Amino acid sequence: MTSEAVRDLMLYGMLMVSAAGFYAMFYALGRMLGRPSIVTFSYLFAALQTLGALGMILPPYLDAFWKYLIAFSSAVYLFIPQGMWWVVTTFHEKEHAH
Amino acid sequence: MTQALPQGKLYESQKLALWYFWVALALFGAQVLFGLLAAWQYLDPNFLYGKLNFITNRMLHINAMIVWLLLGFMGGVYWFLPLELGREVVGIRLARFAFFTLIAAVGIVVLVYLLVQYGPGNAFTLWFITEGREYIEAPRWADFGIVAVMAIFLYNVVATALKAQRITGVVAVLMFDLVALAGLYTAGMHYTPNISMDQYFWWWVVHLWVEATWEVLVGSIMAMALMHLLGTPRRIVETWLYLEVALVFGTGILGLGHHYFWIGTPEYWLGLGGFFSALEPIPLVAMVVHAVYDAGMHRMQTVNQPALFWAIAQAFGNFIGAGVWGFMQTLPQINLYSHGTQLAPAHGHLAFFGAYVTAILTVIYMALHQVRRPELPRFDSKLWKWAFVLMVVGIFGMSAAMTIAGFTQTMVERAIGGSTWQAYIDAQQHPWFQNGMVWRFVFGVFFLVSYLVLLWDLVTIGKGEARTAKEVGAHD
Repeated sequence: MTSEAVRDLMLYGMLMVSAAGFYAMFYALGRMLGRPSIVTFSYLFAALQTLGALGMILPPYLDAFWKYLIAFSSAVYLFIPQGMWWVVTTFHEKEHAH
Repeated sequence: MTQALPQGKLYESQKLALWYFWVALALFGAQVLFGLLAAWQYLDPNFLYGKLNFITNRMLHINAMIVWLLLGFMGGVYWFLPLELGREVVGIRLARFAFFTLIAAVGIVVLVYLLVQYGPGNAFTLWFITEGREYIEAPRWADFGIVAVMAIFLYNVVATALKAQRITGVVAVLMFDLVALAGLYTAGMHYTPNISMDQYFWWWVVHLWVEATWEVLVGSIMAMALMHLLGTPRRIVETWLYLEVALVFGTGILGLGHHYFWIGTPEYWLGLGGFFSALEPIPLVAMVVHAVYDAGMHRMQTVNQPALFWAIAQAFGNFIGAGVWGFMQTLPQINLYSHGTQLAPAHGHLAFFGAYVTAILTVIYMALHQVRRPELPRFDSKLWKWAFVLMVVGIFGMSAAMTIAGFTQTMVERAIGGSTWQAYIDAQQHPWFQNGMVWRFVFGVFFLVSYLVLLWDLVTIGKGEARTAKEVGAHD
């Protein structure tokens, strides 16, 4: 592997996971405050997260196994905020209903 | 049968927890101090050479961290356990004995490290000076002591739950986790001249402790803390804890394989380790959503502001340190080049701080509230905000500096230079590496200052406050 490949993989990996975190944070914040604009803003980070994944998948640096793994992770990150938001609010609503 | 205490009174177990907390904080200071000395020796290798060598400072830096975090966890459990079970801890005398034994052992080990430092590498060295295993350098006699203390700790938790005839979900998780915590440590006590086998089991302690048993232990402590701090219902906290245990164990245990890439283990570890390591940030991203929800629901307000802020920092810090910095270098294709560079301590500093230091500080602030002024509607000070901001800036500054230095090593020494001796020297002399080391030291001094501010705040917070709820106008 070339030094450029190592550099690219590291930076795209960092972008992928940190953008996933910002996506989750802004999505939850937007839903919490009832501000659709913040939720929309969070999708920017979802796009960045996907970009990070593509930056690792598209070049020929990695074997198929690793590409599938990153594609799977990236797809999961796209739905974590919605899924966790549903889980959290459902738990709390049930608790308040008791 | 429960033994509820009057308002403002403490269980004996909670009084003992305070001792654990103060000793933990003192060792936190030692960790920072020795880390700073080691950081300076990167800039001036002759500094204290022959008197207090780099390897000794580094060893004390790392081992002080492990011991103070363990003491903090134990203090956290001793603080919350009687509240959770509604009765005094059963073996409180035994717990005190274990505490003093542990402190004495730590003192002796530190003195040996400082005065003797190393030995001829025979059985005597192994038993009485250091085992020489990075991160767990304790001599073997101290290893047995650590396992014995953890066994006493486990006995106290189990016996108290049985005596109280009440095993909550949190306590059940805690009990199982402590069995693993005490048991796994013994894996680091086997000696074999086969370096691959030695490393294989050594990682069980270093990795499975930190990324599995410690994560679950801190999850249990934070679950109990959140119930008291935010009044979060037990059902929610326990459901979250089960979920966290499943996710952390699911990805963390086999994620151990990412350390097995390069020690001569069978090839399947490459795929196994890489697969589970790549999935490790997923539960951490999920926790970010819950942290935002909890903070938002309470509008960042509670009776104990410092504890709330440290609790929120725990969720985000865990994600950034373990998730982002971990993933960045976890794929074997990258790890081949980055392993052992300054990227590793950058990840380690952020992850340990984010996941564990923040959690222990949350619990300590909660305990001090109860001890100092439980009747106060707001346990607050001006200083804690400074300590919080300075400490977060300090740890991020250090980690950023190490990341740049590590990136230089990965590129110049490994990827371009091919790991030759000349490439090593080239990387060490590269301005990015050298500046990284300078800034690491500068932010290290910054962190020391933040530690002192934190310590002063912990000593003084709540002491001068005399206002009542009515005077403050609180509605809680």
